[in-house]
Amino acid sequence: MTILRILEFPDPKLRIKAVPIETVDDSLRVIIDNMFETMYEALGIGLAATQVDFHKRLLVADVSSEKDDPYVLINPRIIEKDGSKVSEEGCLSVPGYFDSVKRAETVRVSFLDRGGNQQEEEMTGMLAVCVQHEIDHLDGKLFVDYLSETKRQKVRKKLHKQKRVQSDSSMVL
Amino acid sequence: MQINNNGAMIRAKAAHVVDAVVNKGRSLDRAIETANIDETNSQKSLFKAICYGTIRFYWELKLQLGQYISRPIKRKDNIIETLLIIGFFQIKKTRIPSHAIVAQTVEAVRLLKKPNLTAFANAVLRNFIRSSSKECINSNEEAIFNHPAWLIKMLKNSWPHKWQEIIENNNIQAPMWLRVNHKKIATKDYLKKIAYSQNLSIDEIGYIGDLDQSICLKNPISVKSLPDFDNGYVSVQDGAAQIAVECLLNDLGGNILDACAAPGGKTGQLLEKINDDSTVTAVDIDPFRVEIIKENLSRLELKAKIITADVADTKSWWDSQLFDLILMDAPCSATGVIRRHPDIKHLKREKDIDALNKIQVNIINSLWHLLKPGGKLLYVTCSVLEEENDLVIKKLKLLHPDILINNLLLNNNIRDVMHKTNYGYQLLPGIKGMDGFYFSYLEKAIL
Repeated sequence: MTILRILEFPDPKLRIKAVPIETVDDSLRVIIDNMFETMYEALGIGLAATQVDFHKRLLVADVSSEKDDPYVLINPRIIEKDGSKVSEEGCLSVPGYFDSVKRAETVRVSFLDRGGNQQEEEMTGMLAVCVQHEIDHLDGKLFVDYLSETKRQKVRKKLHKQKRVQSDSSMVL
Repeated sequence: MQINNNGAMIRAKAAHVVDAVVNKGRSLDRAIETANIDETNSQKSLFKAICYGTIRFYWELKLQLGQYISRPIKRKDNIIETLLIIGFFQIKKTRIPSHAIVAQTVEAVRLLKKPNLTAFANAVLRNFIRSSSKECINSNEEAIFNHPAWLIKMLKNSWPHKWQEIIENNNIQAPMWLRVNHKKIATKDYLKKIAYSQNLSIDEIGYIGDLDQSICLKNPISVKSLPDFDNGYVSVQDGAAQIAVECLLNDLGGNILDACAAPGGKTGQLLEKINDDSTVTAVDIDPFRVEIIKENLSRLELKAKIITADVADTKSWWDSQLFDLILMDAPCSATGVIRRHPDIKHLKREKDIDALNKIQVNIINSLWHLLKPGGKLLYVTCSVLEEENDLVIKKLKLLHPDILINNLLLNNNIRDVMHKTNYGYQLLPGIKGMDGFYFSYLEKAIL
């Protein structure tokens, strides 16, 4: 298995809208496995294909504390939303930044599973938040888009500074 | 998506860092960089402290962990063993509340994808916290001194009366030293400038060392917070490393070679001190590190002739102009800077010392031919082992009849704390807050 490179904000590729997947086959399952590996390695609870520069409608998630409840959602679609809830979110494409985002509390999602079978499931709690966050990615949207422009500028600066500091460390003799 | 479990995350990442150093032979700096912790992460300094501390006291902590588990942890679960060693470090050597250590470590076990070991980790940490004495009682020298056996043996051999003091100082964190660029500002004025920028008194910031360009800080300050760092007012460099150029002051001039120059600390200092009619050639073998020399010099607004080459292969780079002065900061075991780089204790091997001795002799022997009769060569290492110091000079003397050993012209405050050896001077680590360095000042006799 391979650890994939995760695109980071403000990479314009994160804004590409993903296209539906036509066939679920072994070559797709290789990508799915690599995405899980990448997500677990990065200590994430969800990862959209867009984040690893693969612009098809596919996401993986595992919100369990035991890391034993993997979800694969191919061509996911939210068909019902209910309630609203604010929770703190972070994103592997916006490393080190966390902020509150308001989303639906419960969602009903239709998707294809790993075997290509049509599924429908009602999701709630962390899984609901995560799936909404990842579907946003497939539409070219990031959780920082929900923040004010000033906050978003701050995040951009912070990430930029981080990169600079990393290269600065070579200056210490 | 990611959730904010920062405390557990930095501990899981620290486990990967320690594992990379101890079991995979990576350097600590490199491993920390790979961990990619956000610079603005509120717990970044804790993360670094945990990584450095665990690496520093690894032997003692590992042995103690062994006393708290009934059977060895499976090989495939090595990472959890490392995580628990990190937990023991926090319990023994930090003031983090023990309930937080347990909670975050157990969560880190989950992040490391070993959920079946959470109960085990919880029990081991709680047992250690409950134990009445946390002292490590045993007769294993590695665990007593937190150094590998081969290095303890070599230190005993080089320093029969001093080895224990060296080891103690190796296990104490080093302070941060600065070198002020006198072409830009005086040392005392720069000290004032830092105090002003940090909103503290001068005494709270640090003090001027025995070398006139040096400042020793009481608490480290990040490079980006140093006033006018980008404008070349200051460099980060240990006090002992600054001694080298200080030794040369009376002979500074003419055609000067800085051999094995990267990352350019001494190159910059040479250029800060010379007159306009002198030239400095800086040579280093590593193209990546040569770029760092260039960055450092451009920041200091100083110019040298910089060459990427194996300095011992003189045919490949030398323009046949003999040198008046050569500064050779030899590649070495770095056993004098263990307090700054505790990973050296894990990365170096006994056989490396012999190999380094051969490299050192080869380089100094090649450079000797490049020196004018009457010219001088300062041989410097940050090693405390005689194999890399006096024994190198001894071998060189067998090869060349025209070697004179010079005294170091230094202020008494520094010379008094150095040990005179057969062919040079040794500063031991931790003395006056400085790193361990060896200097031998050779002159080419006019025969």
